[in-house]
Amino acid sequence: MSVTQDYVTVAIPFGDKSEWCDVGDVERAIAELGNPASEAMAKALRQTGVVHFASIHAIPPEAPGKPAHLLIEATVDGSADAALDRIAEAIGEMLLPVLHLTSGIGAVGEVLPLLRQHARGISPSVFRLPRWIDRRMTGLPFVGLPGLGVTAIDQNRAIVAKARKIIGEERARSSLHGPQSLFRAVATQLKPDLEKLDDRRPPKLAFCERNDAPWLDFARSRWTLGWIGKGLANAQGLIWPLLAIGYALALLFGRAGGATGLALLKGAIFPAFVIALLVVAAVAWLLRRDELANTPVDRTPSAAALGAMMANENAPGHAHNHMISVTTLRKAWVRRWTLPLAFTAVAIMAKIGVMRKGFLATIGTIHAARWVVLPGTRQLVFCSNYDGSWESYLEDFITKASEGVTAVWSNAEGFPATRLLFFKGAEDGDRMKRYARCSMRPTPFWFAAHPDLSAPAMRKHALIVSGLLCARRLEANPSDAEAWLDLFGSIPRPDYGLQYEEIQTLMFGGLRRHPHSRVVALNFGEPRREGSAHPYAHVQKWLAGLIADDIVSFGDKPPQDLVCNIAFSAAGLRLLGLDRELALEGEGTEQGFPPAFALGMAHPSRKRALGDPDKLEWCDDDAHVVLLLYAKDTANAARFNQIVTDAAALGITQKAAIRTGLKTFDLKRFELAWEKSDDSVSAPADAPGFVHAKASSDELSEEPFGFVDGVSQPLVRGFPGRHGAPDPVHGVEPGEFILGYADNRGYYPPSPLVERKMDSLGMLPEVLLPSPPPEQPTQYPDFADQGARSRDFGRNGSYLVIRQLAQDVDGFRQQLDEKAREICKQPDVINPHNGDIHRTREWIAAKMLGRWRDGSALIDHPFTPAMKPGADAMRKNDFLYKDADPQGLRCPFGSHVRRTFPRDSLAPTEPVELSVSNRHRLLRRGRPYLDQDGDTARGTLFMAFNADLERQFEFVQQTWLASPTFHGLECEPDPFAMHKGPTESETQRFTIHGRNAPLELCPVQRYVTLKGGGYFFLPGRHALWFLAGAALDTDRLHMS
Amino acid sequence: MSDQNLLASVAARLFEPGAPPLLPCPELDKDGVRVFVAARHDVVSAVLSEEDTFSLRHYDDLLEEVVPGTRYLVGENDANRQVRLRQLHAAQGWLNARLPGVDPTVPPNLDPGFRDWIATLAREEATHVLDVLEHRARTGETINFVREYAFLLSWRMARRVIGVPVQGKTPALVHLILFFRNVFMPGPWLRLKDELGASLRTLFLLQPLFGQVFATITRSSGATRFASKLTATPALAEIDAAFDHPQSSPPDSLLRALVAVEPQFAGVADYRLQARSVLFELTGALVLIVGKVLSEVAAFAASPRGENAGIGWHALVARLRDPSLDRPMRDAIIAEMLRLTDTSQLVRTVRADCTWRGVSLRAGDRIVARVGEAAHDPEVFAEPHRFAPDPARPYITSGPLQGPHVCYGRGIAWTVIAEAIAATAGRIEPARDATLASFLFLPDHLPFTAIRS
Repeated sequence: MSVTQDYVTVAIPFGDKSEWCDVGDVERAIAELGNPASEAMAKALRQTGVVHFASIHAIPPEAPGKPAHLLIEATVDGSADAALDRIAEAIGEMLLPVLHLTSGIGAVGEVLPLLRQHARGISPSVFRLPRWIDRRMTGLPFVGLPGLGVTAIDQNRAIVAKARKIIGEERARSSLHGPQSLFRAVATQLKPDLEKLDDRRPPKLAFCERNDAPWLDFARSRWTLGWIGKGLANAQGLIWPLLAIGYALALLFGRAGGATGLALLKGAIFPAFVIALLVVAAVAWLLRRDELANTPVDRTPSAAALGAMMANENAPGHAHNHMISVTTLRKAWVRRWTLPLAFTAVAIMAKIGVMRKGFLATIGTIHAARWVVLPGTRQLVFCSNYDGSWESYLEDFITKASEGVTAVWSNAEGFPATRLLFFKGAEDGDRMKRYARCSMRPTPFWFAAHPDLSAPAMRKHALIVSGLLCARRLEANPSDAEAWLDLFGSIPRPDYGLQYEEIQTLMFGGLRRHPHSRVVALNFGEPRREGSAHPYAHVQKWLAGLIADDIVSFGDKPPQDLVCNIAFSAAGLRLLGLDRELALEGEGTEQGFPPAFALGMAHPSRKRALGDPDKLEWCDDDAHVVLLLYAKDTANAARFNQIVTDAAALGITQKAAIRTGLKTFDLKRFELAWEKSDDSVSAPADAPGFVHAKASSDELSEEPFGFVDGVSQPLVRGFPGRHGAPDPVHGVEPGEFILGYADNRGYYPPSPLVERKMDSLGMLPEVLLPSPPPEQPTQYPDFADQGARSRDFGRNGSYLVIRQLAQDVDGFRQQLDEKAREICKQPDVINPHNGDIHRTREWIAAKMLGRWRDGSALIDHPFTPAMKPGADAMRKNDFLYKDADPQGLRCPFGSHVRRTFPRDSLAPTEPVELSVSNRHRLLRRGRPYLDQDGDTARGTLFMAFNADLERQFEFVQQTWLASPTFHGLECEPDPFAMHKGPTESETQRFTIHGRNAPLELCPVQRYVTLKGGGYFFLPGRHALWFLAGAALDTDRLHMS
Repeated sequence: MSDQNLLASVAARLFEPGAPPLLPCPELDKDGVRVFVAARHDVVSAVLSEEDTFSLRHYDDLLEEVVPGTRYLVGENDANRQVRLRQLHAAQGWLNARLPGVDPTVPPNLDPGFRDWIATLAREEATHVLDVLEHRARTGETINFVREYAFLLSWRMARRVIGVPVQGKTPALVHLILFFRNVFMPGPWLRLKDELGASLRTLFLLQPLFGQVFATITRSSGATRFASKLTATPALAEIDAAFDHPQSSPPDSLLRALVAVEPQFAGVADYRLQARSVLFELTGALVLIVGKVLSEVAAFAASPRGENAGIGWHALVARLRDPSLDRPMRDAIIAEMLRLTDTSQLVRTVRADCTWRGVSLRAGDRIVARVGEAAHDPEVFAEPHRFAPDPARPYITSGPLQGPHVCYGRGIAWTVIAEAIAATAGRIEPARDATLASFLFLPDHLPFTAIRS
């Protein structure tokens, strides 16, 4: 399937070298052949089977005394010589009128000899043999689809069209298709077509991503010493002749100085290097001198010429265009070196791999192009076949490859001002475009073998066929199958692109449209094989039922009525078979679960770190699995019981059931109380009972102490809509929360792998997705690479921390009251509301949290709340402490929000401090939990996702929230959220910073109690399928 | 006294009060063939129009002497001429169908769409030639308006419109003519290279035969016939070769059109021969006559005579560039310029013994219709030497504008001349004291200069 491409370039001189040489007649004769090619020409060229592109031009002489040229250029498969024979045979008769005008031939038989006589190769070399030996033209060719022949492109297109049809039919036939089953259906039906291919080996497509793809490395590192060294090592054709010149001159000087023999030969070596360097310096100096002598031609292109050119561009049905530019090289002698030097530089860059194969810099829309200097002239011709409009093409050049374009084109008269060959020049985009247009001529004849296929489309087709030829691999690998399907109308998911349908729904948002909720902790009960090899076959059966009935929700679009997500504790996963990956004994696992998860939140080591109490009402030791249930209304919430009952029927018992919900913050009530200074109105404990927010409400919810919750959340790249919006403060990479994606530092977080057979349990690790590194599908996946990959249990999953935090609302309020009265007694304090108990209380509360109850930040509103909805606070959440409040005068260092996300506060002089803080973000999904009647909020069921329990949740809890020495404070843990525990001190205080002196509140009591909780793992879809083991009807799900 | 002076003196007598319509010119009688002269507008128009009395056989005979079988439309209206006319109309219809703005109510050769197309081509070609000449503003070299603009542009238009490419070897006689021209005429030598060389070559191939046909009143000299034969034969061979490779001609050219409509003439055995005559004649007319007239108009306008007539060169250019001009008025300006510069004459042969307007004529007598004098007849054109264009004026300009021998290419010619003059605005202008020099009875040199932009 893979063929090499070559370049036919025929330059036939014509005319009498006078000022009256006109190419009009010849150009008109060429134009008769058509642009796009006439039907007859197109048919004939297609029949050659080797011609990708062809164009013919009549190029006027550069000056009187020089000939005009008929330029025939074609990009072909195989050798140029063989292709020229085929071309002459196919279109010789149609070319005859043109050649008749230029060369006076009158018979078809004379066409081929004439073309052969004037056909020339292209060489970018600086040092060349004399022209009578080396007839090649100075120039540089480029092909955008190396290895893809005309026939292959045709075949690929036909196969892809069939595949597309089959996919449509299969989708219409069954809605249960997964990527693998769909791929298998296509591969099976297309087997006869694939067998017809000449070469059924999976092709090595040059443009595919590979781990060692140098262009990816270059994109990250740019021009390091290593790359420069690599470039020089590949510039031997340049360096050795240069040294030879230096050596020859050194010998001459030495000889003149009287040295002879071996001493002369040896002694000339070092001077040779010096002379070579001097030659380089001289060339640079001469070049610079000529650059300064150049007068840029900044002309508006002729409207008539532009009109004539554009009349040929963007032909209907054509995805690409052709352009030809003819410029005159500058007369300076140094340009004889610098032009091929520029060609050589570009060729070396391509050779050492700083550019993806088939790409010019990062431009992937060029099919074929060439620079050539017409023999015997100073005319530099550039021909290109490119996708899209001329404007987009030139913009690509200007923005992505300006150095390369400058290096070549700056050798011509009138190019925009340059510096040392490569710099400036084309950077001046507008002048560059004017220059280009002025140098262009209408293309009178142009043929494209596949005019409606863009280069990316051809690459996609090749990838699709490549995937079909690697059917065994893709059938076994849903990720690859999915990447293959993405090639139809999209691109394979980039490394930061989320596999939405693999990720449980709760990850993507707090399910505000489902205000009625419950978290149910279940225990697997005793082992029950039930005819299976697995001791917890009943659990697998239950899981299989949940999967089969589509109870568990995945993706960013939650079902309207009810959402169920599921997470497993370490204990639960051990029972389901992952005991080795969660081993508590031994020397650790190859890459299993992290110890913090394996140990569980109730382990003494974790309790010590978290400051948790000894006794909990429930924990992850006996809660093997938690169901996270959400409903839009009470009617649908009633279905929660059925789900639990179904589990119970299989012997899975309930350990805890925590009713949760959402309550909308009552802004009007808060505003009214503030205006009237009426504490009876605003006190949360006196507020009416818990009223579930409406499913249609867009307001943020309220936590039990009476504050708006959820204002500040990380925005995850790849999440839908606002949740994934780019943000300089809150933007984080998905790998911070979801395994299988790059984190903020560009690395994949460790993910539990399953690298063993589990046949004895009837479980198939093959069901799991493979590890993303190093095989994450990319824009150009290499399906032909058959490397083995580990099975990644963690992929698309996340660690879930659940903590049931009871809140003593009355106690908290009472403390606020006391502190407010205390402060109001003091005549000279920093309280802006001195004398107003109600407002002072709210002010203290705001200082403790770092925000007012309505969510408005103290940074922006230090004295009074904004009295605006929570959404407004979310919009104004991009402040940084370093500039806005470096001393904590507005938002105290010890306040809750400054602790849980200090932004750049901890090290204001450290430029990367924000990114340091963002290494410890939590994706919170907590809700108030209610009493059994559902009338009153009793606390918060804290839930947070993270990819690394120790680095994220435990770090935040231990180092920031619970730390009494946070930010240089003393005896000041979080005054708002820190729970009661062994670290509690009677001298705990809270400092409100002021201009003259800080206001210290002491003692400050804790009103939060940890009731229970644990560490859980929220698996991805394939991991859940894997856990269901043999109980799952894989055929029905089309999943393997 | 030369023949022309002799004829001019006879013509002058015809304007005297009481003069007859025709006067004999016995000095030019030859081999028993008598020569009469007509000069007054009404008489010239009548001679050219009354084909029952005055035939064009004379032209057929002169052509037959040199290139047997080849005929001009300026000849007897016989069956072959009818075929050639039909060919022209069919080809013109084929061309017009490819052009926008066709008006079926007017003759195809005067169709506004066709004339617009011609105008576009003429502007394009004129601009191209002027672009090449542009650098003369820097070098200070003069421009030979006749060779480097008028004849070159006419030739380029012929290439585009008629479509016969230059091919084959240049006859030695052409080299010889050019050599003599270079030796005897002032200014830089001309060379047979590229476009300019091709235009010279074509001109010198056609010029002897035109002399043979249009400068002969009774019988041509042997030398003229010999030179004509030597040059016309390869010119005709080029047309034959062009028919064999029609793709070498522009797609909208007359040659391509004649090839395209050939199937419509299945009953015409010598289709190619007749079509060759059409192409040959129209190429000659466009290259030679349009180039000549353009040169003469420029020379007139650039001279004191133009100023005296009220139409100097710059005024003429400005008039033709006036965007408010409608086509009839624009044509009238060209026709008026042709009238002012006209010195042409046409010859007719008396068909049978007769008395015409009181003058007794014998079969075979030649009537020399002095069109130039008729164009200055004060009875018809008040102040005949003043520029006063008017579409209603009865311009004769190389033949009557009515009847079977109405000039087929007049629309093309007027358009090319008008565009060629208008295109020079701001680019070239007559040199100081520019006067027209001639070589072999055709304009050869008129100095212009490029205007520095």
